[in-house]
Amino acid sequence: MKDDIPSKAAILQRDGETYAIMAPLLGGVLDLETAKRVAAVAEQYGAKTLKITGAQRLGLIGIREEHLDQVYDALGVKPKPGAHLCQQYVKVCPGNTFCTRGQRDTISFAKRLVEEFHPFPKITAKVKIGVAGCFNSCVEPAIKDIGLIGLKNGWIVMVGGAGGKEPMLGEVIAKGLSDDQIMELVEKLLKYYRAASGRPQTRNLRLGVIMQKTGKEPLLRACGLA
Amino acid sequence: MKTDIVDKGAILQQQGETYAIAPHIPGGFIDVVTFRRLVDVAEKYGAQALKLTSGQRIAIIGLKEEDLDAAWHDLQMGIGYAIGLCVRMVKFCPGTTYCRHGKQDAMGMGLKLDKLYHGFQLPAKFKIGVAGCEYGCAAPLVKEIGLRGMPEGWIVTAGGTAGAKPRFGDIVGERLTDDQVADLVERIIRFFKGCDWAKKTRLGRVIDQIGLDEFKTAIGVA
Repeated sequence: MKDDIPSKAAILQRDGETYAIMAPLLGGVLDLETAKRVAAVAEQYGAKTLKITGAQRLGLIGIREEHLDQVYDALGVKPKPGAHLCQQYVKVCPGNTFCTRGQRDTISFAKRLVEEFHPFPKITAKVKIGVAGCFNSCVEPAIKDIGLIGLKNGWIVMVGGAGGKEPMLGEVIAKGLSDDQIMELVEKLLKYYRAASGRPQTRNLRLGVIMQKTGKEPLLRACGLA
Repeated sequence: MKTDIVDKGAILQQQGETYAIAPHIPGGFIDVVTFRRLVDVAEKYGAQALKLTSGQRIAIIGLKEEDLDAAWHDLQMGIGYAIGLCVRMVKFCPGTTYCRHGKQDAMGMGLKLDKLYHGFQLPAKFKIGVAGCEYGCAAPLVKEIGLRGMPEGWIVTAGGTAGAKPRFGDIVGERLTDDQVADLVERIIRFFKGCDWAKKTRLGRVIDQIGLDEFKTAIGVA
């Protein structure tokens, strides 16, 4: 009986036979060289379809188990354990690199977050981060564990959002922060989340659920905001 | 001063010079042949990059205005209505077609609604999300109309939005069959179409203004 293969970040499909894997992208930006490589791999290994996911990932669906290693090789990447099964991601809008509405450079900033923190080890629940470059919030920061909205005068930080089984809107905990202040705050938030993941009463819970259980004060104190 | 060119689905980019276009890719499912053609077009017209969007599209970024018609011609794809006051997209997950978690045929339902409503003009921006299970990877709760597939049928929510003032949709139907969902979606869209006064006010704010009970009465679920 087949199952997901976490070490290869391969997701078993409904046919019980083939797998989906995700092309290596940061925040949904696909340069043309990578795009050509993905197209060639999809053709060569007979992907059933490509799927742009809600997390701005590009999935290759219908890959055979015996081809997984070759597919990763051909894509020129190694599977990222910890990023498997849609558990963790940083989702980002085009920001002021591309979009006329963008007020901050979300793409570079998301890259910085990913390089510094991702994957987020030892957190036993999902970690989703959304980086939006204006109030329109096309990456839905309100339903991310950590949601950032970039405005001219700094970042707004929302925490504790989720969209799935136990939907919650994130709560604003800080406004007007600089890039560096966000890096510090995100590190504190992840450390807090990781510590809570290690305690029996809050293990496997999303950040928003932890906040409901314990109140938001411990989190605010851990972040130096209370 | 350049602006978006709505009828060419062209979105002006930051530097005020080039455009992005977002071809219609229902639910983000794109076959390998079409993907190859899209990549070739991006290369031929010197696109800066491709961007996978939250609406499950692939935007081709950095096209020149004079190349827009030729790029669309080569793509052989329809326009994705990423801008304008209309049904922007029907976002859906792999559902029972591919995903092991799927409880309902989100792809079938998503494609059906996409065919009926994508690009349909309304008083404000309007998004539809169809998820085949309770994990909700199409984020249905923050869409104007959201469907969640459960073992016993669909849950329908209305009035969600994820922007600066986020709001979850209100439940307006539970345990519905495919046909009942299609009927309810039609009634919600017909109701909103009639809200001429709403000009750019999204459905959730309209519900807040008139009250949930009145909204439910208007769509026949009270």
